[in-house]
Amino acid sequence: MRPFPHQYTQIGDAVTFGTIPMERFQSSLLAVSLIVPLSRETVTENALVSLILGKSTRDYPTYRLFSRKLGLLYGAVAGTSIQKLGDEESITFAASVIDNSLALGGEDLLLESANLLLSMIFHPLIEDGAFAPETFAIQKKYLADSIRAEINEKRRYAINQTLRLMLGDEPAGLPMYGFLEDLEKLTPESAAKAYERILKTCRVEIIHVGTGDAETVRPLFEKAFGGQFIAGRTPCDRPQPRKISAGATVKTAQDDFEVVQSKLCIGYRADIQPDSPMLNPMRMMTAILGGTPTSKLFLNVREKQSLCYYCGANLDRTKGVILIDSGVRPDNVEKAKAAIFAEVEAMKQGNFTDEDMRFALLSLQNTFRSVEESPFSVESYYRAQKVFGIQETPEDQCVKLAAVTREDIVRAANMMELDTVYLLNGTAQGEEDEADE
Amino acid sequence: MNKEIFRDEKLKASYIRCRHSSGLTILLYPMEGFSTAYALFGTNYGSVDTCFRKAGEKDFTTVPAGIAHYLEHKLFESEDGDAFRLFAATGADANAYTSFDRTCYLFSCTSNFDQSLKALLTFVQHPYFTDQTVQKEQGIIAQEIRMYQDSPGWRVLFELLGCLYENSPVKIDIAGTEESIAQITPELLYTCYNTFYNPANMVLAIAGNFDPDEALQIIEANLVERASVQIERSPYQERKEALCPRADLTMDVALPQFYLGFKQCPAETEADFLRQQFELEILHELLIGSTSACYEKLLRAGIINSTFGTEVFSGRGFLVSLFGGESEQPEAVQQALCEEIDRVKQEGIDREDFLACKNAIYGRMLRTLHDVEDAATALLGAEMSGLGLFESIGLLAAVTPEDVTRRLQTDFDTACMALSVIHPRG
Repeated sequence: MRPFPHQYTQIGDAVTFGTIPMERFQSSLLAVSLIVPLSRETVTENALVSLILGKSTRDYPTYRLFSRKLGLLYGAVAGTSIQKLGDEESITFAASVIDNSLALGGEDLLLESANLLLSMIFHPLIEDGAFAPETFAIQKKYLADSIRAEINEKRRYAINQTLRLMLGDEPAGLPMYGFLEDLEKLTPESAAKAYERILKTCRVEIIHVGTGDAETVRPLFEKAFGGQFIAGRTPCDRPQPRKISAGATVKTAQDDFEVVQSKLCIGYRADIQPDSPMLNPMRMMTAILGGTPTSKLFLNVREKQSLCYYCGANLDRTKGVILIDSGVRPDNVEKAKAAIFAEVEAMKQGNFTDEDMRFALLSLQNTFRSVEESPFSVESYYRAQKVFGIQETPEDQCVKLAAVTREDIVRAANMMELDTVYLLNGTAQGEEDEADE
Repeated sequence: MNKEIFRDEKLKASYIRCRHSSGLTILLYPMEGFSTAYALFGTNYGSVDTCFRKAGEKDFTTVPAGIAHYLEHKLFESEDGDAFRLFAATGADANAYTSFDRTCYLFSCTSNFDQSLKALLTFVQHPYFTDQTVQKEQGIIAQEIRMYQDSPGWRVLFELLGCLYENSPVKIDIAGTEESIAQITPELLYTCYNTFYNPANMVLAIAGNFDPDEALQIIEANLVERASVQIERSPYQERKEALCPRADLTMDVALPQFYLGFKQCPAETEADFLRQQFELEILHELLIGSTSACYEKLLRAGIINSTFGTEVFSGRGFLVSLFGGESEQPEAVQQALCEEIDRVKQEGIDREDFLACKNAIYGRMLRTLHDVEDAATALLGAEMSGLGLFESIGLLAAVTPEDVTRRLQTDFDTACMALSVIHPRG
């Protein structure tokens, strides 16, 4: 087994720096993640602040200058992103550049990318306690558009509706982009205050992945994040993982849309957290049920009965949610539902073969062994590990998965409690529907 | 087997190209330090290839739309069952896709490479279609077509293509229509299979963690010899101009979505066509991409948002300059772009902007060489477009500001322009 690939060094108050050298990528990725708690009050302003910071800095104040800088750095990929990690979220500033040796003009691209990142974080477009009004307005409108755009893709919309029903106002259930009604109240001043709060309260995880000598840029980060880099800093603690309790009755809901394909989502809840001993049995259970092209849902519901165009199951280990989602012809919804429930019941009864188990294991191991194939997936894998307080390589996970027994899987299946059945009902059926009957 | 090694010291990369006696081209790109191997077995055959003849045949054969995609689905099925089972037993992640001019079968694995490669070669080369299996698939594919019909992003593209193209099948959904797929029979599938799945029309590209000699042995042992076939595709008569300037549609979307397109005339030779695409890509960015003053102006005026982007939409026999995103005033974007084209024609391009755009594309191409999946895809793509990968990168490096200026003078005729818009309901 390979050892954990890197060490973290504390370079400030709740600020760590880790480096994962990987020659094979011939590029480097520097990522600075600000980890803050998720809450209804802050989720919207955090999303807006992240958008504003990701496209401009005082050093490159317009989109044009910022983009041109990225172009000149051979298509550097730089910007911000937000990701939910259980009850917390991470606002990540990332910059990726090709290896210095590939630059046509001998530029020090790693150093340039580090400076660009620090410029985004410490030289935001803030003057007199307010974000530049024009940039603020553009990003506020864009965030509003993004929140509204949720209905454009019905598959995603159906999944989100199901999660909203399941998780309500739990932090883990909050929409990453926040709420329109909260967005309307934000001003250039309140957004600047929000950024100040983020810097005061966040834990900071800095990771370098790929080529280049991280030691040449580490002093820049030590200088920027060392000591009290902002007055009054009190970093937040990592919250304890916890079970979100199920409702007493199964929730059902339906929305009508003028589309030809319906979306059926079935949500189950289980007491699973990122560090649960039952996590790997549940991963195996989900893979056998609906995680692969040989899974029960794919083979029986889609292939044999032709009831769905897609039908699969997914586990979200941070929320303890197993979600089955499918695309169904409106007149097949009841049949599809019955067929899906039958497959779940089969799992609970232990009605699956040793071959099903072997296939699921191979597929999951293949997924874990593919993590270290891109700097971005390496970074996000190890960031999540750090946030959840786990130290396991992908190979460690493969070993644990291989130790899962049939009894473990049956036990995992029986941990699932049906929570929500959601239907996005397609009403645009017309002449074509009769044509293929 | 004829074997050549291509090496580029500057790019720190090399690959092997073999021409097998069957006519198959094999590209091998072992990459140190990676755990996965990725194999892509593709045929130079996609949804636009619906009218063709083999050398020696007198008449062209015309087939219903959607067969390339239908074949992709059906090849996963053999007499003994589903090809996915073969891969499930090796742990590989297998998949396939069909585009306008290409169909590819692929797997990605971290162990049992030999068995997975054998499985890939076997199922792609052993078609098995019966009336019953063909009929069963119609339900699944009809569902897929409907799912795409519900996708605004997909619809807005095809509405635009319908404005630009009169005869080319590029204007039809890759999967065909519910009517066209109803006409598909096992005989039609075999006709197309026997034409386009000939090794001389195919490329196998493998990248990542594998041993090239072992791969070649497996390929040699599992390739089915077939008499080489020469394919002639009937060209589609297309007028130079757009058919109609505009299409409008209503769907459940939050904001209007639009595509603005210029139908371009694809250059004759492969190298010229690729050069044209690079030049257009740089031009799009210079005119209205995120490094341009025009983009900044439209963004600040609230006419576009960050979803706005540009694309060179191209393939065998078609080429479109695409501009699109969300906007409540797509006409204002159209007007701004046309004015910008006129202005840059008069005033010329900014050299530093040019360098930024070119460097960005160059950097992106270099990155593909150090990503297993992207490398195999780029190798196969370059080979199918008739040029090697390093040659393609070299073509980009040679593009000058003068080339791009010239391109602007010839390629943006407003008579070839159309706009499609999806409006929110209600």
